[in-house]
Amino acid sequence: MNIGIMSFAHIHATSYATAIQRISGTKLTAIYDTDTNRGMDASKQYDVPFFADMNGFLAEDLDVVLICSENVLHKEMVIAAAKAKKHILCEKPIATNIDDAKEMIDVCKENGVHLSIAYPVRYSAPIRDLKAAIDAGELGEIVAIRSTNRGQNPGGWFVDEELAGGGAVLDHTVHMVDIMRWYMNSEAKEITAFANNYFTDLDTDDAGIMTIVFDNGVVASHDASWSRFPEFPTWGDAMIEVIGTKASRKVDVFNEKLNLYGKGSKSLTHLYSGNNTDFDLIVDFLNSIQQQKQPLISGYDGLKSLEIALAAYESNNRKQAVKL
Amino acid sequence: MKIVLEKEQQLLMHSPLYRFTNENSDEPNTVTILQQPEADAYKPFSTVEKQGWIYFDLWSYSFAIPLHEVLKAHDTVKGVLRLRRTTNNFSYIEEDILALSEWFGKVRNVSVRSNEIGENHYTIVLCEFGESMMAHLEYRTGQDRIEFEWSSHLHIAEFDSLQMTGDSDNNRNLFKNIDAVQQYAVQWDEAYDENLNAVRLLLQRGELR
Repeated sequence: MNIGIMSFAHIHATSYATAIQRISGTKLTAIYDTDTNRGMDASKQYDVPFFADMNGFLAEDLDVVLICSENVLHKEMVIAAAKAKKHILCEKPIATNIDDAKEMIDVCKENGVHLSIAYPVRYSAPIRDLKAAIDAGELGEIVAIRSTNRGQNPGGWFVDEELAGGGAVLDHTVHMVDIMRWYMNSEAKEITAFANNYFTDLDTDDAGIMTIVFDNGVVASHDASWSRFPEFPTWGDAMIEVIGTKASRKVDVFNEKLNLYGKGSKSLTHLYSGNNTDFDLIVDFLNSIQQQKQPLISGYDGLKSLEIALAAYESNNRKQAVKL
Repeated sequence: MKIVLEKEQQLLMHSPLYRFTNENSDEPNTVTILQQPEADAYKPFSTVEKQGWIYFDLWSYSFAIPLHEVLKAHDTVKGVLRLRRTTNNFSYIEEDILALSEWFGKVRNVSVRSNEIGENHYTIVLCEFGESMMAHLEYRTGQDRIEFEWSSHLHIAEFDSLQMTGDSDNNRNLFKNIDAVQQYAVQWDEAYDENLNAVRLLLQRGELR
């Protein structure tokens, strides 16, 4: 299977490229990037031809493309790749507005290619264990869910709304609300949120908290932020707690760790010891394509989680609940 | 010093500074623990007729003392507050908002959402305090537990009442601390009546917001 990567703007591009190199029967065969220097660097690192021209890249014999560009470029790249009949794994968020996301899904459908969104949290072992426990009825009926995704300020284009389409709320909401939807098979119907600049002097929001009411009556809350400073023991968290009538269970993707104490400004460091979710995501996506199955995460999943993040901004602006 | 404790509440009595007794005493360095309100006693917020010194449950525990020191020493204008109570007493909601207002500024933009299945009740209050402090307050049914987190651009302060012991029946993190009670109790007056009524109104409106 021949795979191309469109842009190394997102840091996940490097872990996906490394994953591809580890999987037998797959080959990273081409790299395209809007930033020539970035693309050339990746080309050298992975010993793969670089294309500065998107059409030239898409004319290559590629089965799959992974899109890791700045968020605002997802639409252009997905549509071009779909028309070139490539199956697509696109970084989250699917797009920066709902219309674009819907158009991307439609164009992929028209061209008979799969569109999947990169939500590696779905591949975290403890997150999957909790899904299995819910499905087995071990928690009883779900009453409420709370989640947090609080990390460090990523800097670069992530903090430029013109390229990212939003701030911390967009960046750090979609993963966990995707998990909520996946766990419950229910959609959000109302969002109430705050989003603002609480930790930094950035021109974009660096934190937000939202309450989500789902169709099934479950109330959920999500805390998204770039609030973790570099001296914090770990990058951040991706925590979800499900409160059920029989039991409650809480997992944090980053809580499988070794504590390392040391001298210096950072006295405690958490060394992650859990499964490689990026690798597992790529393996599962490529297996789906090979077996001509619908990937676990669809473009529609990307759309529904984007809706929640954008509704949070709308609620913050209007200072009232937003119905979906 | 006299303190009125709610039923089943306990007081930390480890301090060598005080003598603790159930007998009414005005001796110095003596703490009298009462079951019924007296005019000169520190009384819990749940007291029906609020007069004199009233203490908030949230700020009556040991963790409140270092937390207050941290807040005094650092910028508390901007940040994020998270409070989570596991409790069978949901009347803490209005009390907590009043307590948090004391330290973080006036409450505003309150939104309340709840779900209830059988005996399991869950309520989320989303609100802001002061100029730029957003808060997320959660209340769920169960044995008493307090989880508190305050994040700012330079500091993160966390407390979990279960962190010291798994023995929930003898959890000293949830014993009252007389120094916290004394330091953070408020002299109740008409302004507090007005504040409380305003909080109740905000919570009612918050269910519709």
